[in-house]
Amino acid sequence: MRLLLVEDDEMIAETVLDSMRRLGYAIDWAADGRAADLSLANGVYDLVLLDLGLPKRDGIQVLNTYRKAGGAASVIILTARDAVDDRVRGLDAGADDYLMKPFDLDELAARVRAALRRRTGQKQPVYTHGELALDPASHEASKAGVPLPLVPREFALLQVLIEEPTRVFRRAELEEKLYGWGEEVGSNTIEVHVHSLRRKIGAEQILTVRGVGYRLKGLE
Amino acid sequence: MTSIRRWLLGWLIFGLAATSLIAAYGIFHTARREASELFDYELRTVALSLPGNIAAADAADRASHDFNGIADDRIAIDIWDKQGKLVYHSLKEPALPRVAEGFRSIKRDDYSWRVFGLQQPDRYIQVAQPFSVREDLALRLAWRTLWPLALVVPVTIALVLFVVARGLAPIGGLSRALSRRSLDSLEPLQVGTRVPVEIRPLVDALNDLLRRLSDASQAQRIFVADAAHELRTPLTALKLQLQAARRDGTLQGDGQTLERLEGRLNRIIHLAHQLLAMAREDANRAASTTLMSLRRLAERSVSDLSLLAEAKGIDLGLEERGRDTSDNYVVLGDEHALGILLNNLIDNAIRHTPEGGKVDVILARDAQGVGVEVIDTGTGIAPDELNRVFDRFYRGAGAQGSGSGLGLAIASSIAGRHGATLEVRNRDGGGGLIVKVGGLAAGVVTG
Repeated sequence: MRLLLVEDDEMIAETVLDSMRRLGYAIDWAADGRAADLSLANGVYDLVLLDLGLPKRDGIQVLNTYRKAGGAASVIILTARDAVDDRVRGLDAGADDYLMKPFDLDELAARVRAALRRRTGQKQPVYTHGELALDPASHEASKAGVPLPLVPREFALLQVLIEEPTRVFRRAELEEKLYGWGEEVGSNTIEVHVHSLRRKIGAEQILTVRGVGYRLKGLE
Repeated sequence: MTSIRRWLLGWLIFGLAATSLIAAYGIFHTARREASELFDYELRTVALSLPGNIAAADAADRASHDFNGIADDRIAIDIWDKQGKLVYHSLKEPALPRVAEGFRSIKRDDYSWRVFGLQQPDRYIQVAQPFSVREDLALRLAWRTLWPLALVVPVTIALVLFVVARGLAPIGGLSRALSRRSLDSLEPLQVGTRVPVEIRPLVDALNDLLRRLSDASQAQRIFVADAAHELRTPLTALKLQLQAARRDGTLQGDGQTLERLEGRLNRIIHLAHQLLAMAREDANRAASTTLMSLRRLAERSVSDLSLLAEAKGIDLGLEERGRDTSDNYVVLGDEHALGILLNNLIDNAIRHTPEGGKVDVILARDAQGVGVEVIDTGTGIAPDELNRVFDRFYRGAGAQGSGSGLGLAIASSIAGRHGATLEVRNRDGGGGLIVKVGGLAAGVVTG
């Protein structure tokens, strides 16, 4: 896995390079727009971390040039701009993801992992969240290494929740994800599944967000 | 309140009426004087031209004499002979007392009379006429002159009304153009090309002022946005360095110090974020509004902040006043801005609520429109500080949290732009704060 970081701030670059290398990625650094053009023209990268506010050439221009030349690497935009227009512009120009400064190293690492996973087509990784682990391929779930005896609906529910552990799912969304079109869903079906899942994995693992829905408990 | 229109109309119409009255009185007065001269002359002529034989005729025989023409003018003729005996009297009424020679005005039985006495060698003639005859004639004469004037007055008043209305129309147009503007608009005034020269300097001065104001506010917005933007890059670097250093143990120091350091850093990051949001809100006066579901927005905000609430052990939830759970609370609004507003309110509530507390986000619908309340179980705000909470950079006296002091200022600005109200009050009986956004324009989804 070869990464390119395009970032003009030396201190940010240093830390990102350092932590990415620690995670086992090979990563190069371009400090301005022109250097980025050169690196992208000559190197083969799997993923580009692109700052938008660059000296010499704007990040969006760099991205446009790269995509026009047929560059296919995943691109995550890192920017201090957060106006909605800029976000749309970045995604329109062919970025895959968008991360607002200031960001956490953990979050950056997670986004990089996700982008590379999409790229390599590894659709079904083993998800972990705290003590919980879920392997969609083998249809096994465990808590602190102890296998959980889940029925299919419970397993599906846990999978939905663990795929995006920080997202709150509305009841209607869960119904949609767990049941096909035309399937009759009782008014409290989801509550029943949540209740039975809680009994098996521990009630505290699933948080009820009053008036909205459910998500996995936070890790901190 | 003074009104140019009322002032002009008042003085023009009052002035016109006053001059008309004076003119009418003058004309009547002149007519009466002329009538008076005319009748005096008539009295004198009658006295002088009375035939001599009338004295010889019997007073009782007077009916045969034809004085009808004169009698129409109600002229009374009395003739006395040399002995002072009344020998002729023309009217049925009792004769007037004899007065001195020449013109006299006398009063008898409520009637005023004009009397002319003439001493002739063998008799004394007295011709008299009531004043009312002259007054009648004077009135008739005056009326003949005045009635066209009476017609002219209403026409003139109508003309005055029309002219004043037309004359003041440009001022009215200017006022309307001003009142139609949104409160914060700094666009130049558009009052059309036909601005009278008297108002032109006013419009030019206003537009010049607006332009300079707009330039200044634009410059300020750019500065704040740039500053916030420039702040973010070094803050990112700091945050990343700190995290990396803590992780690999290269940063020496006890855990508590590092935690406080990171807390402070997060607070500065939050401040930079809020400053940028504020600058954007200031610049976004004319952002377009769409039909959107306030319920979806509230769900998203509650979801986004549920992690923060969970970390603080606070029970954060979404409720509703209405019983209709399928009501999506559709409003006409700027979704991005309202999201910031709601996030700020909920974030504030969580910051100011102690661990184990509760924060409720409540959707409501009333006569004023759609609204949302955020109610917490925090400490509330001292009553004498309540009116300062919308000030920029104001932080409560006992503020413990890491707020920027901009949250409510931003929220207030967004609510104002939506024509909504933002109200902050303590819960009855203390122990919590209610922040209510009310009067959002309810939207109707068709189809």
